[in-house]
Amino acid sequence: MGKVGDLVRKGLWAPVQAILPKNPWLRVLVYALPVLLLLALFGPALDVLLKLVDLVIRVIEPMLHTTIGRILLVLVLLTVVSLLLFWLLRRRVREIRGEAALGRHLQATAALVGLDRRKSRELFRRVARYRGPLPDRYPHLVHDANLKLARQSLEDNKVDAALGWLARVVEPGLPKELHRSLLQLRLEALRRQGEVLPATLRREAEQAVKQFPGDVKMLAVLRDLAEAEDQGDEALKWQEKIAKHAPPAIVVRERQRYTDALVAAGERALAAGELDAAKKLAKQLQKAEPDGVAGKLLSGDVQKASGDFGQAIRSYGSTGSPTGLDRIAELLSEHPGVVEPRELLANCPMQGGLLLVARELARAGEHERAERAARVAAESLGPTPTVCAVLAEVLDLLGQDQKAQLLREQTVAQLLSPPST
Amino acid sequence: MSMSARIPNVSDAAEEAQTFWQWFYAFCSEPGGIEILLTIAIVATALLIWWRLANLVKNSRARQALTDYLLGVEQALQGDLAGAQKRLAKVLEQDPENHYARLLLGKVLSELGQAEQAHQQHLLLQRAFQVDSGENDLMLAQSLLGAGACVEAAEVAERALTRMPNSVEGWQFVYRARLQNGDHEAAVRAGKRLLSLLKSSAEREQLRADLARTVAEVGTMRWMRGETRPALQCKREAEALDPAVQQLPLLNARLQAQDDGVEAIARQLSHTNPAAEPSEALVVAGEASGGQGAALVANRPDPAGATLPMATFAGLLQPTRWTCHACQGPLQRDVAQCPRCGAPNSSSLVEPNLVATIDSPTQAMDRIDVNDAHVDRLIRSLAKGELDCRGELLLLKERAVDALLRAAWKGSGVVQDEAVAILREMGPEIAPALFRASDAIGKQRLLSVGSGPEAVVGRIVQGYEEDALPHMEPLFASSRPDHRRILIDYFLGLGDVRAFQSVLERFPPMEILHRLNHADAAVLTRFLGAIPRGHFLAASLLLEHTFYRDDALIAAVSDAEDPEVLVQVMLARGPTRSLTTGLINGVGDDLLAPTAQRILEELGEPVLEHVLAAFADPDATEAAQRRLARVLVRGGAAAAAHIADGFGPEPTLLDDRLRELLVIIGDDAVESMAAAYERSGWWEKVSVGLVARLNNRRVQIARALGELATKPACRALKQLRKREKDDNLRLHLDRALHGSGGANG
Repeated sequence: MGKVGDLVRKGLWAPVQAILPKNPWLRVLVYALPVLLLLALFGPALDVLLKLVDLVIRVIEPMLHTTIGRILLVLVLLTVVSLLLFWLLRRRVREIRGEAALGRHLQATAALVGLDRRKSRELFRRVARYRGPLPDRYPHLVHDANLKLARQSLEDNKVDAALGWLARVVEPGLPKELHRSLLQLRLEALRRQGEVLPATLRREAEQAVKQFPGDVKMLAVLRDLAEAEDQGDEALKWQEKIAKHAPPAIVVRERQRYTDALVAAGERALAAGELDAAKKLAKQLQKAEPDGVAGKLLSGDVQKASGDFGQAIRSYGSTGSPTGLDRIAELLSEHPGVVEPRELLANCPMQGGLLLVARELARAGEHERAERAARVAAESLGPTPTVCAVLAEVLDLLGQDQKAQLLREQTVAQLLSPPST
Repeated sequence: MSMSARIPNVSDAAEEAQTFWQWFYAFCSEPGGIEILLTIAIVATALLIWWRLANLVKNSRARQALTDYLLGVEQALQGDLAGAQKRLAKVLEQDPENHYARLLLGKVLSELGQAEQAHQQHLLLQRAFQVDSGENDLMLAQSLLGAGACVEAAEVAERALTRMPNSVEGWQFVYRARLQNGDHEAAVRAGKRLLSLLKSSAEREQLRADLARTVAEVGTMRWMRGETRPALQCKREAEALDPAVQQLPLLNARLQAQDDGVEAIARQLSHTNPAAEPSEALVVAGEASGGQGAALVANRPDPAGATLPMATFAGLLQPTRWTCHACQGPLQRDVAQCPRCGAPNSSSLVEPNLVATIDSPTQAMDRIDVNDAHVDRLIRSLAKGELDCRGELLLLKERAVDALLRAAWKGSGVVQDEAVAILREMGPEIAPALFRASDAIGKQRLLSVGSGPEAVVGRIVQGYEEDALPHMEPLFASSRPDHRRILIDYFLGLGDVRAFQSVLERFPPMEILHRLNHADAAVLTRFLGAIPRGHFLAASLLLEHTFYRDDALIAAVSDAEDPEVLVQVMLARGPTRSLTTGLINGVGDDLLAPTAQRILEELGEPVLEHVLAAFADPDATEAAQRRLARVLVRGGAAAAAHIADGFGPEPTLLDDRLRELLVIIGDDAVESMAAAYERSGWWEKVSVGLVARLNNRRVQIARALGELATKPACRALKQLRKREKDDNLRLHLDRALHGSGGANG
């Protein structure tokens, strides 16, 4: 019905619109002309109008004589003027409000960058409360402020507050960067809150990673979930990605973690008797850390588990590390006499290998050779804590307790003597 | 006075205040006053709001590339550093005065590992844009640290902290930077400030423990510089911070050792107590004695001490194989970044030698097995003059004897001397091995050309003392001539006649004499000097004609226990050529001269001719000639006969000295001189008087008799004058006679 009425009105009004002048003042004049004509024709009606004016003056006049009345009149006048100005400059005011909110957001951001957390939080809160027109240059400022407040809340370990701020963010229409932050923060908040079901969190994290496959923080959530669920292989997969995408500041730490995870996975595989899997992990380790020792150590462990002790010693020895020496020592303790001292030294050509040889010979009861090996080791290595401990053990085995005691005394005396002496 | 001056001032102020409020009240009481004030207040508020809004708007409108800036900030916060860098760089291209964008870009660059570029951004802010911001300075310091300038970073951060003294992050940074720099004292200062700022009790406890470690490290450094008192103070301070810190026991022991002595404390600390608890055990394998659960190596459990143990000496040392060379903190493994100070690639091994490569495992094993290859290698080193192998060879003893003997035999010069010296130093215990080796080498020789290894063995054995006797006795059973020779030489070398008795009892005299004749002069001299009176050697063996070492007999007299024994031996042996020569040579030696003179005198006439010949030797020293002259003088008439025959056909300088000797001999010489005067030479005899009798010999005899001028001399002169037919000689005799007659009166 309304539509029909509108159509009729528009149809009738259209010719009038067509002949009206373009100047708005002229238009006002055209509109006012029939009214004035009517008023002139109808004098009594004009009188009524004048009486109304007189009535208003009569109402105002007593007010002008009292202070309260005058105050009320000033307030009314200022309100009317304000409303009029607001009405006249309404587009301009909208623009200014938006710009002012943006200015506040910039101030908050500056405080954030300048490490003034308290000030930035207060300003972001004000921006987040803003419900006015949004600035054209950056219409996402409220969501941005919400995200920043959520991040700060998470940093202060206020997970519920963070979730509150995140909930206020309207996802559709967000730029990619803010969307990434939203997903990242929501995952973190949900993870920390601990009340969300792991499956839900996992699904959300996987979706987020699909959108941002190189986001380390999202990947870390998935890794932590996998670790919490004791899914080592999956955790390893995520950690590998983290190590790949981590920024330089944390890449060292993450690579180390990846290596550790590979080592742990290798040990698990060894414990489960899955030698092929362990071998594969050892190769992965060597690829991840070409100069590191972990890969060679795991290779050695695999060879040891498969009974290839000589090759295991070679792998351990090739690490050139104290850990390699320890593994060889372990192997020899578990399988005494499995390798000839000459072969042992050839496969582990380190000075520390001499200590192993001395210990092996002493344990085998070859006292003279053990003593000579101990002497050779002591000459090569000098009185260090390990030499002292191993040689004390060897000398004890050889029944030379006093020599062992003397060696200990010398080493301690060396520690206690000032450098000048 | 002052009180009275004050009172009006106070009342004036009160009046003024009263006046203002009265004026205000009066103004408000006036019609329109309140309305004006209200209007002014409303308009002012509106203007104020407008002004603030305008500022905000101005602030936002001044920024270019706003979206990029805000999204760049968000990217930086979310960890998309590459994206943030790109956006912020773009922002700065359009709006270079966006200092916050620059500040954040610096931070992002720093996190991207581009410390130099980050530093550039912060420096631009500080210098080009005159931004006086503590945050910027702190980030500048971080970028400096990232670029490896620890000292500058710490200094810049400390300057920044003067503007924001309560910045926890700032003090944390300074603490770490100072630790990285190794300036533990400055780190302690920063740590203490940080400790006062931390609010979380967990963080405080953690920092207290770390600070205690740092203070203990400062104490250790002070102790190393010899500053005991400050070290003690540090120790107390560290104890107050955290009594369980691992550095404390060592520092405590070091300080205690300064008071009680290093050895005593070392003995006390190194004492093994088998019944001790594992935490108190001296050698801890696999776990820290401090009970902090630090695994020994690579966080692996140690199955019953299977790994290489590491002595911690009851907690004096930390059971970690790695340490940070920047902050000296212990590390459980080789890490890319120190978790304590953040220094990159700072892990270093506590015992780097442990993993140092052995040059040759085979050689090392040979050394342990002491096989032929090892011994040969040592000998080759010895031949090259590398004396490091000497100690090793000495330790090898019998194992190296064969090779060393071969080296000594085949080598020459320094190598031979060194090999012999080593064999000697090995002591007499190796004697049987030495003889066995000598036999073995002897058997391998195809041609017995040159001296064999026995000569070297003899040289070695000669150096043995009496303590070698037990090792030498079994060799008497050997029938090998070279062994027997060496044995005799050894006993000779001992210089002990009683010990030599066993040789005399077991070996034939000829063999002994043979060795005596071949013995080294010094050895034989020492041996002969020890012969007592009446010994078989003096009574029999040394008197043998086949003993040729008279020189040794003479040389031995001076140091002999009983020189008379040797003198008697020489006298008994008679004036052999070698003895005479030796004695005459001995006259030239101050030490041997008295003995030689005495023996020559006692040997008498048979040696006088030799003595005269030595006296006439123009090369003889004056002292020797004087001593020989004495022997000749003691020889009396016999000596005079030889002297008188000693005048040559022509006058020489020697004639005067011989004449002098004859004069000293005196009347005993007269008869010999007369006989010599009368004796014709073979030329005279052949010429049957055709040759004149006048010659130098007769002239010198006549002069000697004239100079003697005793009654027998004059009588002899007269008789000679009477028988003389040669006028010239008569003339000489007359001159001599008149000279002597005049003298006699």
